[in-house]
Amino acid sequence: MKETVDWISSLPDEILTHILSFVTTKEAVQTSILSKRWRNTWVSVPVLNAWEPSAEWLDRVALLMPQVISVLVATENFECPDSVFSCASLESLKLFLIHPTAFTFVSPESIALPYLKTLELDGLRLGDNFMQQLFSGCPALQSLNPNDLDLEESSPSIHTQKREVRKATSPCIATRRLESGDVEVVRTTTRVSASSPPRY
Amino acid sequence: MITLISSDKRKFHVLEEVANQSLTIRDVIEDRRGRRRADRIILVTNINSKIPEKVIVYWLRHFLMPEEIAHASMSHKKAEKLKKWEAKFFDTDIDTLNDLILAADSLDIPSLFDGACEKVSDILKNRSAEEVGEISKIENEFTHEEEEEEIPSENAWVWRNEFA
Repeated sequence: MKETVDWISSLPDEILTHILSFVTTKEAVQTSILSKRWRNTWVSVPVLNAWEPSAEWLDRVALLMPQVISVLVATENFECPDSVFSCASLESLKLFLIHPTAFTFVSPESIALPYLKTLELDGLRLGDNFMQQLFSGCPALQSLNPNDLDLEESSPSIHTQKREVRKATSPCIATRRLESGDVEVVRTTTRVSASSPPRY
Repeated sequence: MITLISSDKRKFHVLEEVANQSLTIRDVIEDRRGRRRADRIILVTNINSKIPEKVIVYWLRHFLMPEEIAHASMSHKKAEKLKKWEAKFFDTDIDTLNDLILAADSLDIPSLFDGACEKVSDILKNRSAEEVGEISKIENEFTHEEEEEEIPSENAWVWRNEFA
């Protein structure tokens, strides 16, 4: 007869965290129901990869000092919490807020992501000075991948930014470095849906 | 050649080049270089003999196909073969996986550690708390109230079934 021990309790916390880094955040959080030991284990996983989380939840977990946040939301009027844009530990941020008929408006009060290296944005309508905030608030940014964005037409900041982003790739918006060092964002968005009215 | 001795006093002779896949052993050998032959004996007291056997099998398979080479120039067929082999290797009972994780952690063998952890995560995936509790013998010491209300309300969205 085999002895019945909770084998997993013999593993140190770092290993449990490592195990949880292989599953989605949803699955990792679901382990909180297993036992007291597991209740808050997921909290230490540095990678948050969530489909359709609630804004309130996202607001809370941004305080857990994650290194990666990757969010996919397709519900209308999703209010992306400001805390995501002031998460000091963040190295990679992916915001795919892709509602089929409406852009999701994102206009954080401020942006302060000192360690952010890669940023991917999809389906957003950005606030007036988002780009300006972005370039001044993300000194470590190496890769910007904007995809299907609605930039405020009047936003002058995009053309006046004096900052070089080393790598920017996008099928929809091409960011290229001009001789003067300015970054120019050229809109070439062509996402059209036959059944939905034009969005802008 | 170096000798590993397990907790149940079994000896395992392994080529140094093979055992070097353990960063812990590599460092120990490096520290003792140039000393007596007896210093090439390494006690791995925290693991029983079943585990060194498995670890050495893993080492040999990977020694024949070093990872740098594996990634850069391995043919698709060979990669598939290795993947199949690994799947079979990790397809073992949960106690063995547990011991493998601990061994890979203390011997510092990153690929073995990751492989075993990923396998455990596969076991946890797509299962209810009851099922996982049964497999892993985790004792659920929550009260009914905690289980039904408190914990689900903490992270409500993960308990929603969005496709229902």
